[in-house]
Amino acid sequence: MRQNQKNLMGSFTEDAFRRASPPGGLSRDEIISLAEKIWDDSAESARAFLHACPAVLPHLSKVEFEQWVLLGRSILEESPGKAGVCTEFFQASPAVISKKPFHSCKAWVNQGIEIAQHSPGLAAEYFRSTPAFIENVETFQFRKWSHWAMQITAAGKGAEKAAASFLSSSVEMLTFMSFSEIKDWFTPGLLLAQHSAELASAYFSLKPDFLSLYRSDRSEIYRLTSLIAKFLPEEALSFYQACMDVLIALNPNIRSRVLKATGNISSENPEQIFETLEIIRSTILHLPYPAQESVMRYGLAIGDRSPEAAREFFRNAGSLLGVIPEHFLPHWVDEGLSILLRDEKCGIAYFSLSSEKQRQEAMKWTHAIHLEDNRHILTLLAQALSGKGLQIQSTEELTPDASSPVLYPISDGHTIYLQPFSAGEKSSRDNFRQYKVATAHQAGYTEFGSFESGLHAIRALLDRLPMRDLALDIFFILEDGRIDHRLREEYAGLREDIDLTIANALSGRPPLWQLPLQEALVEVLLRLTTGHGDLDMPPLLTGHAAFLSDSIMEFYAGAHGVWSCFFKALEIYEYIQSLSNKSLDQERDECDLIAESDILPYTPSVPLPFRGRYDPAILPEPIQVKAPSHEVVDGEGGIPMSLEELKMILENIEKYHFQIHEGNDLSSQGLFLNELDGIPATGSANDPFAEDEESHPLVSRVSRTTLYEGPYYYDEWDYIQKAYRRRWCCLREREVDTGRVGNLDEIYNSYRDLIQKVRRQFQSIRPTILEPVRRVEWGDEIDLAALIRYVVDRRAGNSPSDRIFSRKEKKVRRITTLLLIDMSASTDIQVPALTDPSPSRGDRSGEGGMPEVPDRRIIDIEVESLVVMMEALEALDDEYAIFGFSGFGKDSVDFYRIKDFDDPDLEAIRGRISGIEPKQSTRMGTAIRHATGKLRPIESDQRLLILLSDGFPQDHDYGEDRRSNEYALHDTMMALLEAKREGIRPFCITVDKSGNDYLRKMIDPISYLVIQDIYSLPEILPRVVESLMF
Amino acid sequence: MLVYIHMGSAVASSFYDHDTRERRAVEKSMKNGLQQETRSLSAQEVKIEEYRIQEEPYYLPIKDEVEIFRAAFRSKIPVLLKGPTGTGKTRFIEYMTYSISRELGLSDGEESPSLPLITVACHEDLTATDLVGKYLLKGDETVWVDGPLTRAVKSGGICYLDEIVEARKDTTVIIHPLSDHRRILPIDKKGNIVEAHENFQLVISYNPGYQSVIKDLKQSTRQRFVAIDFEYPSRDQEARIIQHESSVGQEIAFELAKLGEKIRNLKGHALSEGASTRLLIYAGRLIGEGIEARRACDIAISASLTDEIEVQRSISEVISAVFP
Repeated sequence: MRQNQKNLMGSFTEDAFRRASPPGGLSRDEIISLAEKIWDDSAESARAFLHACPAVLPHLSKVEFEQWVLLGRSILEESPGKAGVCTEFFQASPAVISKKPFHSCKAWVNQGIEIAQHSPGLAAEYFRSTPAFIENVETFQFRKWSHWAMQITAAGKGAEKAAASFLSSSVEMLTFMSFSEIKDWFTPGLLLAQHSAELASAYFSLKPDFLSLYRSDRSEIYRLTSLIAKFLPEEALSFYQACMDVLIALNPNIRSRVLKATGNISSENPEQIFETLEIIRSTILHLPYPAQESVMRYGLAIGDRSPEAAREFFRNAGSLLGVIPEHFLPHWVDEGLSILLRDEKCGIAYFSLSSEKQRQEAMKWTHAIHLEDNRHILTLLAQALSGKGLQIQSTEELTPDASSPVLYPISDGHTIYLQPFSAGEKSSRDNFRQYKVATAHQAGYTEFGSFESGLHAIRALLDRLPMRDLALDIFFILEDGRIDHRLREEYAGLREDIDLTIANALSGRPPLWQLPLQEALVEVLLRLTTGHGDLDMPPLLTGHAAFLSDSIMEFYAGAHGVWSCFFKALEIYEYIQSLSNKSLDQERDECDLIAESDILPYTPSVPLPFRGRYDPAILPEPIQVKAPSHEVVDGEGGIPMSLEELKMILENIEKYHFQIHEGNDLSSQGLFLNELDGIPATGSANDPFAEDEESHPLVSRVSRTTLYEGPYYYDEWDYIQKAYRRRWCCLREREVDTGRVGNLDEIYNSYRDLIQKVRRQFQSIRPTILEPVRRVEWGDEIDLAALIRYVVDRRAGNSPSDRIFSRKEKKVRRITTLLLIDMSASTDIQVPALTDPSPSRGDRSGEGGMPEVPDRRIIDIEVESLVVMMEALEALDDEYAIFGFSGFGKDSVDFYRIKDFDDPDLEAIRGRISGIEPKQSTRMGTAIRHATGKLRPIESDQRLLILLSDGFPQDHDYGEDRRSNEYALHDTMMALLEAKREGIRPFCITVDKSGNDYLRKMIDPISYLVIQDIYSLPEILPRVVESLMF
Repeated sequence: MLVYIHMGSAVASSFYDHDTRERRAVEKSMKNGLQQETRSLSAQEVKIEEYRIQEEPYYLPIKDEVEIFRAAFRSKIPVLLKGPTGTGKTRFIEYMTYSISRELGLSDGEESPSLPLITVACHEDLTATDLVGKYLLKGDETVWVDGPLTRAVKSGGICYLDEIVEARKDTTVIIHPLSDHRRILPIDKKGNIVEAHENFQLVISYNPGYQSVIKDLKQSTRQRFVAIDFEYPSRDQEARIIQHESSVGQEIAFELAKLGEKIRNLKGHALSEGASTRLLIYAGRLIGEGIEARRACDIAISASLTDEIEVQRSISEVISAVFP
């Protein structure tokens, strides 16, 4: 024993003592004697003490050192027989003392002693964990920390183990958690400890992948776990575990929604929380990400009204989405919500898929079709029928906010706006028919000359009549009727479709006897124009209806244009407006005297769904009706024109001159109404476009479009779903801001020789060689060798070969190159300049006069390579283009135009090259798809797409899991494959040393190159391009 | 008539094979099925320069092209026919050959036409040699064989180089001395020059629509020809053509012409070429054979115009709008 002690003391040599630079007045012998004293109580502690001494000594004065030893001994005294605690104290001391001022150590030790009185094991754990604790916690919060441990110990019998595992786990978690979160995490554990020490210790020792979750989500989990722990401790632990697992498997964007839904829908009832989570989990995990998001959103919305209904919704969402396409889910949910509002029971039945109404709705949306999926077909149909470049858009484009949707199709002569979806028919083919008829009808305005012959002018004229709504209704009913009539006449195949659509549209219209007189007559007119005029009429209407039917009988056969409809409209307008608008029921009473109050105001008629209503107020690009300025009458409202005045104009209509100016862009289009002499008012108060342009909200939209081209929408490949996400990304083409051209001069200077060399090299690529082809069946020359062989063979009795000609074939290859540059923020990284230049760099700097190269950013080197490459391609004299890309998020991918294929202005291009700067993220797939689109129309023998990047494709929403780039890689790879399928040769060059692995994965079947020495890029790039050309 | 036959030469070149097949296919298609049957029964082989058009081909003049061509023939000015496929360029040449040779023949007191029509469908491997002639092996000796152009120059007749831009550049150059005031054909390999027959007329055709920029016609070539533009006929004219060629009723012919017009609206948007009159005639013939109208148009028009499913569907929608 003594011998051991001697050995130990001996190990603390004079030399070690001196190296530790002890405070003055302290000798080795003193330390040895202190150690001997400790030895008497605990040999283990003494050993730890001596071991700690060299590390502790430099930080302490003599007095402090003695106090330190005293602290250690006091532990031994306070908790006799618990030498382990003291040992741990001495072992932890060097780390604590080197980090914290000595005076705070006292509090630390006292805390330990206090714990040791309850549980020495815990105290040992306390001391053991301290060094790790102070690594991560700034302030000296031992008190709280140890207090929590004590609380756990005090919570129940045998909870020391739980407390110890709290201490050891908490220090681990502090590496990524804030101290305040430790408290949140501790709460459920404490509640568990009150029930069962085992559960608590299991809770504290569970270490899920916390880092994958956001702090806010974690806190919510602790909160929910605490709720359960109070009443159902057994369940709490499994909930905690399951909740973590579920969330980690989910998209970060919807995790908080899942937690919120779990809390809300269970009404925070501990008994239901876990069950609710299970319901949500079982549905959500099997859905693709976009669907998850919408299911959660609607689930929460339903949950606000009725938790029970929401639970049913979550239970059934999976199977529902098997039937209804995801983008129609909101409509289905909306219907359910409105039922829920009226009657909760019915609502719950709806969401549990057991009500009849639900079945109908599901059926409706199962067969519904989306405009987006049919837009191309309908656009081509409209173009074919009209012969004009009509475009199809969704009416959603007309209203930026969804609060006031445009309910009917509408056209402005350039664009046809259709409803975003078509639903309600029994099959998707029937739903498509609705689209088809609406498209044909709207295109009919263009095809049958409504716009050309002055629909805008007519509308402006009608706007001035006293009963404007009536006049507009009558005119448009007649005009729509004319269009339908012409469609039937021209397209025999459409007749049936139009009939079916009209029959459907009419079925939902109000019966005549419910309407006041004028409205009823307009309704009769509408039915007459659809060919469904023979209907059951209230007796008092028959006389007027007969007038209408006589009036338009044979009308369409002779109606040649929109103006015929206008005149007919005026005729009918005159007739109807002279009648008093009273309810037909009153007439039935045969009350001859009509009181003034019985006359109802005219309510505009509702158009048929496929006809819609032309209304310049809701169209984005107005075609202005301008009157000569001196005739404009100021003031609000203008003066309504009397029918007589209007007639006067119309009688002289030939004299008025309607000019339609076709400008290059839409904004310059306008219809000018000249020479309106003798008309008292031409003020256009009803014309919303006569306002000051400055104040018009559309102006800002127009000016914004000048900044970029597009937007272009692209699909994105979801490798998990093995399907494209339709129109997922939105890309805009922008110009690069011109930079300082001076930068380029430097580049030209330093790369003068390389540029010259590369130019020569590329000039010689242009092949003008005639390649001789020998031994062919036909050609310009006889191949002598082949001929001799032929003769020899014949003489020898063998059958000779006919291939005795030779010819020369000229091979001219056109090579188109597109360079795509990664302008992501990561290209801002500085790359250390090489200290020992490689041979190639040596001769470059030697001759170019750039011996010392400062550190440069990746983007600078990219730019340098671009300059060299551009010069090379200029020498080649083939088409090439340079684009950059960056962006942020799927809805704003930016595609920077540096040089387009037909951009001849070299100076401007150089300016733009020097303006290349790092921007934001790298959504490669979308950029590659856009570049592919650029190359697609170009005819060439070889089309190269060269992607120059520094690393990962990466964007904040490029794939659900932000930490994995799996999704981004797959999408990029798919985009490259698409390019390849188009006959384009993609090639990736990356200047990232660690790029090898992911690149190989990314472009498995396609060529790539990783450049280790980034500075050699300017030299390598032309070589790569050249090698690709053949 | 109207049957192209292999040349009598022992070594038939791939070019001649190719030409024959293509011509035959075109001719078959342009002729009424019934007539075709009787003719193919009496197939005969003639030399290329002996080929005459015996019966008057159907051709509906759209504008003044007939008079212009006649004037150009008399003034010995070569003609360039421009226009998309299926607008009747080939038919026009046949018609002109027939009508001019009748005029010539009548003035010479002959009854049958005496002007041959020599058509060469140009392809990207067509060289000057193929047009002018070459040495071929025959037994123990090499024999010079005139190419179609040389034969036409020697015997007099209309030489029609179809889709000239498709051929290799050297071919366009050898027609230069033929197409200006010199009217000669130099044969380098023999060291000869052939002066053109009085009735020799050079006609080339060219479709500016789908050719790529690299395959554009050189100015020096272009400026040796007068150009006649071929466009799609108007609806009424086209209906008459369809009615004649496919023997369908007037109504269906008119609907087909309307359909053609509508589909041509898509040219430049989704289609590189509009539906040709030829396709409409095919559709008409299928309808005449009893195929349902929508179906006939689908297979004859939408499927053959494009491979893109969405565009095909759009065209089918247009078809179903026109035909009930």
